[in-house]
Amino acid sequence: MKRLLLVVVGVLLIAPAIAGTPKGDQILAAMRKQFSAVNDYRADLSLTVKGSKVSINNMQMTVYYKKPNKIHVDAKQGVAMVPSGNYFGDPLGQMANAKAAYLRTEEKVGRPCYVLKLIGGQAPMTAWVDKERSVVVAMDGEDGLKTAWRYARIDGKYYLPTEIRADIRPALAAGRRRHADPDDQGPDIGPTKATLKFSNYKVNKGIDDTIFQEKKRK
Amino acid sequence: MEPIIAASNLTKRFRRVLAVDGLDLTVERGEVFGFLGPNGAGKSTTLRMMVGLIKPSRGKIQLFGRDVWREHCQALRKVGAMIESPAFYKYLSGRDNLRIFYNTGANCTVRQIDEALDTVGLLKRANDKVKSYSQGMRQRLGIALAIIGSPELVLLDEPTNGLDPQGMKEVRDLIISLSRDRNLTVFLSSHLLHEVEQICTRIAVVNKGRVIETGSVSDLLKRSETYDVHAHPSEAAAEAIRGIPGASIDATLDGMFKVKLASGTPAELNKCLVDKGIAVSALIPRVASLEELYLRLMDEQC
Amino acid sequence: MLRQIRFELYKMYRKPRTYLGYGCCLFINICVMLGLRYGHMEQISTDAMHGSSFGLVGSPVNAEFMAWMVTGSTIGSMIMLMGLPFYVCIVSGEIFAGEVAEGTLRTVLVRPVNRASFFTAKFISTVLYAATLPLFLCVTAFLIGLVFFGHGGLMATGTLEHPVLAWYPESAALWRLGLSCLLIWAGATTVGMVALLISGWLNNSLGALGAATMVLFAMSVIGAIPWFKPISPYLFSTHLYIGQKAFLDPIPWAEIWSGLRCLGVYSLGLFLVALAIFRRKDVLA
Repeated sequence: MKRLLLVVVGVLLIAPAIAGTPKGDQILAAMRKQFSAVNDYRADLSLTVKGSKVSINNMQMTVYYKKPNKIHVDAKQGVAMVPSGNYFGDPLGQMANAKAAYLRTEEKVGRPCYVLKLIGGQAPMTAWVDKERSVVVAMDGEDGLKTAWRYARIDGKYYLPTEIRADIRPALAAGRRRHADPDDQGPDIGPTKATLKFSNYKVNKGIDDTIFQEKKRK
Repeated sequence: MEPIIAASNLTKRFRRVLAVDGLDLTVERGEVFGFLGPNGAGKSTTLRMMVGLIKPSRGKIQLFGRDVWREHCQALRKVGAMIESPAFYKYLSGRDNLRIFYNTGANCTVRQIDEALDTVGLLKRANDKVKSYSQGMRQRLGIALAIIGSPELVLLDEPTNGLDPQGMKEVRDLIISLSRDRNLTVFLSSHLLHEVEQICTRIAVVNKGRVIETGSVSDLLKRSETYDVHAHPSEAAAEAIRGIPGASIDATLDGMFKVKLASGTPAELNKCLVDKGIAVSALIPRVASLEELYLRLMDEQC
Repeated sequence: MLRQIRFELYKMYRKPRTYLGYGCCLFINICVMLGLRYGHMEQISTDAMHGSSFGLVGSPVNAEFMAWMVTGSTIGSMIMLMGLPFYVCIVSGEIFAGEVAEGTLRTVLVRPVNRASFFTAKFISTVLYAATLPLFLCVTAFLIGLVFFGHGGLMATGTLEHPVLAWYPESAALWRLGLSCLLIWAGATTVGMVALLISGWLNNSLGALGAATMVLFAMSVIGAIPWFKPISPYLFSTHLYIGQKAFLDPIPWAEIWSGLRCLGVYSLGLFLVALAIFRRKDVLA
């Protein structure tokens, strides 16, 4: 009787915990669902990059996205430097094919977040996903890239980023690259911080596919 | 009244060459002063020190009571000068040159420029570039620059250089009229002794950096006056002349004596000879030219 | 003094040789424009961006870029070393020695003019001319670039000491180009003062030009030799390229002030020595 009571109490204690722990795949699915309503968008982007080897001051451009993964950037001032990385479009892009493992729940940038460990994508990383909004609010990649995301609710429906802060730590990245491939002589741009500010979203207004066709250079 | 030009122990040494050696000189207001000397005598150097182009090694030079080197602007305020061949900006017109040069350090009006150009006969060519001017025209332009704005002292170095005889006469007449009509003081350096004799009231002769003779032209020439005396018998005449106090024989030629009288008059000379029974057939006063005076002075220096 | 400066500038701009520098600037700008137009700059830029965490969209070539090419890039540094100072020396070497050779110095100095103010007017005229050259170079580059490439922000690289890839919006680009012109002016003035001093000493404009150019090259060589590194900050040639620093972010004001101070000391010192020589000089020509 006593043993049965202990088992029942133990199950009662553990069960809620087991029942409330999300799986990584479930969290990714929720993120995918959140973004699925966005077919296309157009937004103004202001890019500022500060580093020891690079300085971009408020470069203005226009970003076009269309499902599933079409991206086009227009320079507003003659030229635009587009940062490499998954800053536009489906935020799950870089998490595609990655396996996500739930680590814990914690608060990040004032939001309750699931902490996921992602392995197998572009680079192993830790991601913080807003529990309520199912959007990524921070990432810390082992490739030396750290990002923080802020969102706004566009048209009352879509959570889309208004600001992304990226912290590029190339020494870390270079070290890891060369550990993997000693012959890798990738560029050294020095520690760099980038800020991308999105504004003036036009979501699901329809974008012609011709915009995404690469124009021939003169 | 203080002299307009006052040079006191003026000396200039260029390394081992002593160009001017303790030169003393004064020029009074209203004079037309001639400055004579052979090449290398120190005339140009003296003139350049007078206008502040060269700094004296010793001594001082004053214009209107102002030291030229220490008070350059005040000393030259009432001075017009033309030193050696006048140089102008060839790519500018005559009028522009005068405007630029004169207005560097003073002010003048268009009318004053035109007056000066008209005085030297260049008004019609005033707008032509200087590179199209002949040597004589540039010389006249230099004189025009020197006389703009009614200066009280004009320093001219070889003003008739490069001019034809007509031009020379015009410049001479101009200098005389400037001196007479505007009471201008003119300091003139020239090789042309005939010209100096005609224009100048006073002269200084300089050699080896020093003044060897100075005075009014008339006094100097008078002091150099001689008498051609035809008398015979020659020997007796010569002896008689030598016996006269103040008389000396400069030359003798076929019974004609060139007699210099340091004192006494020609009438006394004549009486003296006649009293001694010497027949005097001619007694002709001969005024020396400036050239003769000059050459005599140069000979004495050698 | 103002009137004398006006006269000096009037005389200066009546001489054909004064326009050599402007002609050279125009020629350089046309060559740069042709190179940018037909030289596939977009591909070059894209290749330069390879592996740098950024991709390039559009073309950085515009009026601002062209103006930067002739003031702040490697081409600009070559112009600063071999071009602009040479043409400033042509004018500054001749402004005094030319008058001596023609005899007009004699004509001027018999006027009631203060030697110091006369020489200072020549110095100021030279400085003003030295200001017009980089300004002309930059403005004509901008205008030519405007006609052929339009305008926009500026993409610039840094210096050898501070390699950086930078981009500035148009308003920032314009004032940086203006700053660069000012800094180039300082360097060109200093070299011009060397020529002015030598022309006052030798009374020869060609000698002044040759000597000033030689001084510039000698200093540049000395500054490049590691053994002379301790004195390198005190050589004016080291600071001739401060115009490039206008395109760094943040602008290294301390380095710029240090460079300007060095150039200023040289310019002032050379001027004062030249003035002292001139004031005591016997004018024999």
